[in-house]
Amino acid sequence: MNKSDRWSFATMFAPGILIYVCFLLVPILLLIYYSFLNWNGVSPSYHFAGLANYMEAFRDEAFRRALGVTLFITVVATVVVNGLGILFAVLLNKKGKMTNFYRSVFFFPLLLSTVSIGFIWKSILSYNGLLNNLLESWGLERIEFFGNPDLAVLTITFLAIWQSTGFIIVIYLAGLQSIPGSLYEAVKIDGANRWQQFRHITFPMLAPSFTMSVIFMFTGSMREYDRVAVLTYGGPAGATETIAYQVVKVGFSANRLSYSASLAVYMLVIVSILAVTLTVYLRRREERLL
Amino acid sequence: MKNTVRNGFRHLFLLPLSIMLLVPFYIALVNAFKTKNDILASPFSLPIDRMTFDNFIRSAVTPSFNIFKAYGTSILITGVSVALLILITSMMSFVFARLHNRFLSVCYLLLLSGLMIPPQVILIPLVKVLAALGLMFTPQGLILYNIGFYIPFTVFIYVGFIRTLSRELDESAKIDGASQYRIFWSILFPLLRPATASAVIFLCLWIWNDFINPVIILGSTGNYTVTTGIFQAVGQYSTNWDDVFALVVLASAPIFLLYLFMQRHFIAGLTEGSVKG
Repeated sequence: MNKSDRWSFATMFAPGILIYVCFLLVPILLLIYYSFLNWNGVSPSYHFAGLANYMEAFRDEAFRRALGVTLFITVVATVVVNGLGILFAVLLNKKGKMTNFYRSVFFFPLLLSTVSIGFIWKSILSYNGLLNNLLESWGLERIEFFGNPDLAVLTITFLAIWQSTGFIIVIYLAGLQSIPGSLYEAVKIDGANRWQQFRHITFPMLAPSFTMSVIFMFTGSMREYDRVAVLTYGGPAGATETIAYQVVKVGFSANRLSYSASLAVYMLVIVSILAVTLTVYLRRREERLL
Repeated sequence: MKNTVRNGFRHLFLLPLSIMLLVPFYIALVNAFKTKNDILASPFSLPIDRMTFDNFIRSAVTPSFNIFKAYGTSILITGVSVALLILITSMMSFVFARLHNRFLSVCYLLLLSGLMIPPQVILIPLVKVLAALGLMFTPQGLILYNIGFYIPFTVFIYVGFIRTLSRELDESAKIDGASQYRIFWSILFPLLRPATASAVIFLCLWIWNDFINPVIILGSTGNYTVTTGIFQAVGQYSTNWDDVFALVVLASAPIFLLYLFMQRHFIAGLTEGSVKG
């Protein structure tokens, strides 16, 4: 490599890493620094507070509940969406006019913003919404989809599933198309039925797509924010607050910058540990299966 | 025979399900053209003789919200962010794919760990950084942040793809005396089209639909994107569903039209470039 090559590579590399450092790494270092202060975000005076914020956050009932809500949404959505994703990808992995129509329909929810889709669902499901008006006109009782704490969490989970499945189908479809047809020929000769073909070839061969989809759903659901902001504002009485929602709410509305920084660090650590563990486990699984 | 029966069952399952999936969109579209009384009386019907554009006229431009301004801001932010991301990260990924040393390995690890970072976590310190640079409440600030945040994803797509391209391509061009810039832009980049297509589709959707970052970085006054604009226009307690439906339809129309025209490319682009390496 001569001098001009080295210069070329350096200038190709520099802008990207510079922006990444300024707008992602520096904020994370600052976040950690803030979390050890007692700063409200505006006051010129603040001092070192040690682990005080972390201790307070550890005892914070609201944060614990938000963590529970987030984990519930994440686990249920990840499991259900991956199950549905594989099922529909297999059903849609054919040629034909109708299949194209189905694909377009299933992909559609992933095009629109969570905010737009959230407003559509809000107008249908809220207490004064279209569905409840219909129920009442039929002589039935209105259902508190967003007013009842438990039901509200379930509704948000359902809507997360409804909106993410299309994207996961895309990942599995791509995976299915990379499985060589010759593998199926071989077991068909041995007389394997459809279910056996799926169990012994399709599902193991989908391992890389499985890894990608699970990680994508996991990291996506752990940062659930938009739906909560549009549908419930965290209510009723904080029942649908996720950890991402709390980090933003405490940081920007309650003017407790250092405390929210410690919540954010907790969130970052929890998400990272779980994501790395999941990734390592799923990669090993791939090696075992392929 | 057996196959026809099986295919019949498949349609019996998929057709009702697709229709169910479309119901919310149907409701939004149809009711955007109806009066409030008609919406409440019969949410599914479309009374052609009483169809109205009033909802759109009333909600598209108000003293605090202008959908055309929102389109402009969203197009600017999405267009510039995605163009710069492709320009910067494709070259960066070329370096990652072709050179190997400890510094680059550390950088690569740092970048990949960025994939896990929830955006809400860095918002507060990011606001301080942008304020220090004088970029708070500006589209430039949001664009720079978008680039930083999506570099890991884009690098991830490109590096996997570039590694599948033979080094002999670079080397023969090198012998002909081409510079690294020339090798990359005139030989490799055109071959990266499937990866570029996937990256562009995903980045456009994510940045166009992004909510919390523009809310915070652009602030509540002055600048708004389509997504943050309709959020503020609807507000927390509104039950004026006629306005809500009109706003949702206006916000979704550009993406919907683009999808109609590019459907085939869209689905191919999503599936081809995204999982490789």
